[in-house]
Amino acid sequence: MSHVKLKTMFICLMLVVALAVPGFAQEDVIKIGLITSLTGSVATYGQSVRNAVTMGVDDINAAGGINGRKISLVILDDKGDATEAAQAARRLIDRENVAMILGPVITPCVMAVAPIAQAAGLPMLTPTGTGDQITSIGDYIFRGAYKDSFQGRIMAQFAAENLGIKEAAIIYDVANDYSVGLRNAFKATFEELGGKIIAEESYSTGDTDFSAQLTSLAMRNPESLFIPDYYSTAGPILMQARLLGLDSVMLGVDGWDSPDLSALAGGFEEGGYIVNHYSADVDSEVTQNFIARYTEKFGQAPDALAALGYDGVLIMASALEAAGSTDPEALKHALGTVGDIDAATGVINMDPEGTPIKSAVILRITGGKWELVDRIDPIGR
Amino acid sequence: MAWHIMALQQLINGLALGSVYALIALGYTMVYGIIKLINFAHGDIYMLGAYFGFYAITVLKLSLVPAVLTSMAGAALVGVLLERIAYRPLRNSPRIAVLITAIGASLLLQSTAQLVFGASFKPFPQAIPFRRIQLGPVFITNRQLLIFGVAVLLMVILHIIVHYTKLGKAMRAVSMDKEAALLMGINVDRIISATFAMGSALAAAAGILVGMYYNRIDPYMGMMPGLKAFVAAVLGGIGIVPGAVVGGLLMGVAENVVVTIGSSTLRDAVAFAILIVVLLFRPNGLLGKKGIEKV
Amino acid sequence: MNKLSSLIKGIILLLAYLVVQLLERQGVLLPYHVQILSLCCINVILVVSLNLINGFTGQFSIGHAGFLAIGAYASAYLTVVWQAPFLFAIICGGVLAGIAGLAVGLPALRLRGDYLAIATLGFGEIIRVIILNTDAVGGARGFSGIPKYTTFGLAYLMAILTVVVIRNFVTSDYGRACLAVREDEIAAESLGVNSTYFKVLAFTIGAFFAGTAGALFSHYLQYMAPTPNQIGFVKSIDILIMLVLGGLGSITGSIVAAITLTIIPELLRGFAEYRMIIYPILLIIVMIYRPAGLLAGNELSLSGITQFVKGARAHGNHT
Repeated sequence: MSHVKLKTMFICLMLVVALAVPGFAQEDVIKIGLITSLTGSVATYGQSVRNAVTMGVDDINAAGGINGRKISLVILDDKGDATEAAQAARRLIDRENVAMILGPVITPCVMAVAPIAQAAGLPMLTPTGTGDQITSIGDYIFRGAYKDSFQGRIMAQFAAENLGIKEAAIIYDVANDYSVGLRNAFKATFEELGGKIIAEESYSTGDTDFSAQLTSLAMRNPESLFIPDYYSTAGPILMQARLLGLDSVMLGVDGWDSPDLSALAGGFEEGGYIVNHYSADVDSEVTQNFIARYTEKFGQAPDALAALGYDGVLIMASALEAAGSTDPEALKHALGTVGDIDAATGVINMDPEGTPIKSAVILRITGGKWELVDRIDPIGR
Repeated sequence: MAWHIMALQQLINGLALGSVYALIALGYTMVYGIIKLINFAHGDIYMLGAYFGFYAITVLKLSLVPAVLTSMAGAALVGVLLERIAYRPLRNSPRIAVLITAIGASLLLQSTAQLVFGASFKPFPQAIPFRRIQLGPVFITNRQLLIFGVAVLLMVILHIIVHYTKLGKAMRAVSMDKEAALLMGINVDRIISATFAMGSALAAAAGILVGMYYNRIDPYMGMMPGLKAFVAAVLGGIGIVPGAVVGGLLMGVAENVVVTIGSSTLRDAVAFAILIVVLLFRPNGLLGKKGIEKV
Repeated sequence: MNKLSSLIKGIILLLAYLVVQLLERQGVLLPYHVQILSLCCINVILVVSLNLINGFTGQFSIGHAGFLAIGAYASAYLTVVWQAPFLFAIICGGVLAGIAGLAVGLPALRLRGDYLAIATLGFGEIIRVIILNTDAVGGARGFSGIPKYTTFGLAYLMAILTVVVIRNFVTSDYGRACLAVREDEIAAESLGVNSTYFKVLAFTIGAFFAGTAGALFSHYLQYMAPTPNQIGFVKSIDILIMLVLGGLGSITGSIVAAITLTIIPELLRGFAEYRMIIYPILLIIVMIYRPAGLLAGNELSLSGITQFVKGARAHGNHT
């Protein structure tokens, strides 16, 4: 084929694309964008969130929608990668014209999307993002979970006061906002309460071999080891730690919550403690109802991410109803004043800054199951 | 705890990692020695080996040894096919074209693996129970022993094949002078296929060992180790079989040292820094002859 | 004739720009589309600058993303921390990247072919790891909050500038020396061409433009993460694929490939996984049947089009 012909073809193709009419005839639906990590290192989170959000939206639509309008979900995969998340956000805002964005799921992705949403004046609600700095990006940014500073503090308190632990070591991901934020909070509180951080080691997202760091830690034989990272990394760390001779009490975070943790940790997560958003043992009708329906619909018990995802939909629905329209300003205002929602992860009241006032639970892995050990209510309820 | 004990322990860790690099590096070096090609897709064959092993254990319910052998056979097949389809047509093409094809093959394997196996991390089935063995002040896990053991065994077998069999002799002949070997009646195409098969089998073994050791596999696990193993091959002297072993072990230890003393974020840079130093000051590698480029 | 053809080209380019602006104003082109066009321009700069090194001078460099990274981070640092004007930041980014090109080019020149390729890959990764460890630019967690200074107009202008400069370079005596080095370095040397000088020159210029593209890129994305996807070997290979498919040594090919391969992934968003299977297959097929790339060595020129049209008319008359 002649070269010029090829080139002409390409240019025509480009023009056609450039002129493509965006969108199609739409009925009166409320378009909501969901950015979640369906593939990549936190795939189980992303899938849980997607499942729960879809279930939540289906529930709302089945009950007649919001003020008579149904919700239409546009789901995009950010692959657990910040750049992809940013691209997805752009597409949702510029091309799909969504009324608001649900997600992303993990803090690094949220940090890439939030500035974009804020600049575009579009409300964004991450049901699961816990990084502190998320809500300080702007007034259009909201979350459905507690902050890492809260989480890290809770774990440090629990370890020092309930378990009587005097010394801790930390191994964390220096390339991940989530991990760093948790480490900062834990360290500050633990030291405040008189504990000693005897050693710290770090690694980068994607590392698989932690033998160098863990061997160093093993030499110090710490009483406890805090591992603030997602299950896909915490699992291997737990296994390698035990194999390299660490007998410490293992302390974890909500990121550990995944059905894959046990396999990845080779069973060595046994006896570990984590802070989480909810527990299947909580005696609340809403929670138990949610668990039953989710299990029936998807064939497996929901994890905390799913619960948060579902609650995210509840928050969003409440705000949409209160706002009465999809006007960004009104929606933003409504989101900021959401209150007294009886959700699967507890009662939700949004604080003016965009973070809900919620409780946390401490769970212990016993016999392969998450056992509720304690429940901590936030101050100022 | 005394410094030297920690150093010894870290050495053991480094050697375990290094053995893995050595196994992968052997494949690179053998292929380069015979057709002067940097097989970028080699790291992905390592990844496929891990996945074949995964399915052999979980779906075919094989025990460890049969699973490893099955995986090695599967990978050998993939290697041979790869050579036949992507590299053979380019045997006489400019180097750039072949290198780009190799890159393309690598991307293809990764993306196909992602599509077929799913993109998330899969936990690797634990085929043997954990055990820690005390050796004086330090200890070694049975997994590390397995890695050493299998690596050494495979290297010995390779050595025997290369130096004591007819096939090995033919391989050495082809790598020394392809035209002359052809004139001598050696079926060069078959020898090349055999080389790919063997190199791929070794990489697959490494893949399964790594899957067991680190407990998780994903479609992109071959990228970095592949590059690092290539550096190891260059370090030892590309095209020289013992060089790959030496290079691999050194790389593993060096990486561990850097992470222990410095920061783990420098981990990947170690390989490339070594590469550049070697290429600039001793391009034929540690075990290679000091040579000048001929016109 | 030259002046006239240049004038015509200039007018066509200006018209194209005005058309885009008009369509945007009319709402036919969404901001989303214009963003994609900006990205096209950035990729054009990247691919054409790589072409200078790989295509015209025959040096196999696959660490181009390293230069992109330097330009991106340096310019972002300047605008965010020093509140520098954007143009200044772009130029600084380019210059710093150019210096890096010099630093990479000089030692790398002792290597040939495969080894050079791997060495440049290594350099690219080392640059990435240095950035990863530099807290002043966000370190491992990335650099966020970069202001959105890249407009379509600016990107378009820079792309045109890059193409003009490189095209002039290539058709000049310097360019011919580079081609000589590519074809047969030793013969060129024996004819008095200082191959080292020209190889380093190609690296430096290519790196400079990659740096400017990087500056545009970081102020487009507003967030830079030091991952292999964004500034490491994955990105380098992305650029290489565009270059190879377009054709080594063909600027037109580079432009077409850059534009097409930027737009198509957006179109095929739903099929993102298949894209990464199709690309490599395409790459392998092209390498087997047309190793120099689709438009290798051929350029589209005004005279070329007029001749084609004349030829077609002549043929039409005969039938």
